[in-house]
Amino acid sequence: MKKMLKRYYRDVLTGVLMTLSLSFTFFLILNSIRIINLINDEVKVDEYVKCMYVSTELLDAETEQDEKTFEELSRKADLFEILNEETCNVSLYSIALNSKVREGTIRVQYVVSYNESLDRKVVSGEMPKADFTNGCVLITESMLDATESINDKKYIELNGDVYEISGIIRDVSVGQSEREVIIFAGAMSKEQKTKVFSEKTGNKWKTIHIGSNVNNPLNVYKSINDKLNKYGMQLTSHGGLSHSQLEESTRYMNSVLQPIMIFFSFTNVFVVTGIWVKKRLRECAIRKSFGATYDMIMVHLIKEMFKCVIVSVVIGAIIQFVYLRITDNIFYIKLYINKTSAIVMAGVFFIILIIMCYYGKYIKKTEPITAIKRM
Amino acid sequence: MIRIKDIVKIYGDKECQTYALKGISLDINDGEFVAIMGPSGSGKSTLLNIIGCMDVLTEGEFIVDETIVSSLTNSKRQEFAKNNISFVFQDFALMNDYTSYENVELPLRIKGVSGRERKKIVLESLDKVGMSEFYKKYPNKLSGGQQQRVAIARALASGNKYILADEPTGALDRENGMEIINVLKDIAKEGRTVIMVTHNEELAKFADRIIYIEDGLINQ
Repeated sequence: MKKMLKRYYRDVLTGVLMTLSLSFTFFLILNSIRIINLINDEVKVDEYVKCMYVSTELLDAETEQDEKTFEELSRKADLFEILNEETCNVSLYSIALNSKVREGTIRVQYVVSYNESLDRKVVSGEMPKADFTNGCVLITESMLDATESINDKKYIELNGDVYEISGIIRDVSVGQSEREVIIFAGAMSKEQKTKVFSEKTGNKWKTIHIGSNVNNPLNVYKSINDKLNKYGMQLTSHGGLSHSQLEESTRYMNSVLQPIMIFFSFTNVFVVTGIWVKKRLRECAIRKSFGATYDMIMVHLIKEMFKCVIVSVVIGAIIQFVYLRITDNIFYIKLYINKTSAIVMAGVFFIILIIMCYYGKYIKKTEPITAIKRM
Repeated sequence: MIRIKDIVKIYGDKECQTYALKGISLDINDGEFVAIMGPSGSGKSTLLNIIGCMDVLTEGEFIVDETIVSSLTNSKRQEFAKNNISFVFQDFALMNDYTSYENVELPLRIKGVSGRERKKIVLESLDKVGMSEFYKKYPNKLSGGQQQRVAIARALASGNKYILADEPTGALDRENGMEIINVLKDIAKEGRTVIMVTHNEELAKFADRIIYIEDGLINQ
């Protein structure tokens, strides 16, 4: 490793610093590509998922809708905690009415959104509300921290409005159906979910763990849908940010962060390439003294530079993966290898090529014998 | 054979000119070991640069084996130098991050010689200078004398007829310097032409001929 760094960068410390510098540059570039792709993906759809919770309940075809009261479900499945029986029952009925029935199964689906005051990665969104009872909501167990108790009732503020909480949906649900599938998505860490799940089920149930990533909602939606498909289930509804909020975040990204990232990346590459070429001027002089032409020397340097660049790209991608893992707690990465990525990376390589040609003037000016004597 | 006729080299522009060479004429035969001596600033290195096609003369004619090198274009001159002239430098000019083997094969890579052929030539060249067992060593692991031998092996490996040595013993002690001179003498005996610039009169005596340059002219 030491020999490689010396071979390509002429000394170990310079090699380490330049590799890290280039890697960070490529981390910024890859992150920019990722954000560009995310925004492009999100702008294409009007609705997208920010975070969701799905549970399944198998019903008989003849079961009356109104029999599936909140209370009954809570007794059967330990799914909910009732805070306000009156409003809670109505809430569930409303949800059941709005959901689609397919092959004897009611899918109770809703989108959970989180307030930023919870100190979680959240955005504003919609909450399931009862049509017949205004101002009441069901919340997930994870949101309990954001609630306030007033006169034996619990309230939560969402999107600037205050709602009474009629029920709490457990972050873990235990299905009663033959299909023993439990899916939970929320702000709990994987370890917490595993622990709670084990306590509830004694490890008898098959699970699918899915992380939630509010920065990558479309992928979360697609991924959960793919997994549900394996069990004959499908997501059928979702909601999320309005289009205007998306446009705002896109404008912010494009107007502020992107130019800064690009400027920093370009400057860094310019300086690093310059140092790299100048450190190899002696080698160029020696090659020249043995008849190597300017073109031959440049081709040799460009080949070696690209080896260094590829190593830095890989390190930059690893840094990005670790960064996303830590910051977003995501469990999977979608590799954005599409037209945009290819164009951007090709552009970066092209810019490096131009910069090297710019610094090629030092190679042209180098008089071999004088240069070798001086260096 | 090298023929130099009335070459003049002027540096600088019209307002401030420096005459490095003021009209030198010289013939060097094939297989000759020539030493060029002179005080600092006399024009020895300039003459070597011109012979080595690293610099262009201002006036005069420079002919190598029927080729009028002084009238060649830049690219053709570079091509001519690549195929006919090799250098040995005072500070060895080895690439410290490459092994001895890789340093010696450099001119062969530049010429586009195939891998197998390169290996054969490199090992032969290293063997001639007594450095075949050090082919995997890096220059910083070799002594000064050993490094200069590797540099000479590099010049040999190129297969070029003319070897120009700019103060090849300048960085070495007397013993190592003598060894290098002996190696250069052996090379000349094999038929190659060796032109050496040196300050060391004692070592210069081992050459077939000594040429004294002073103030841009040959001192007869």
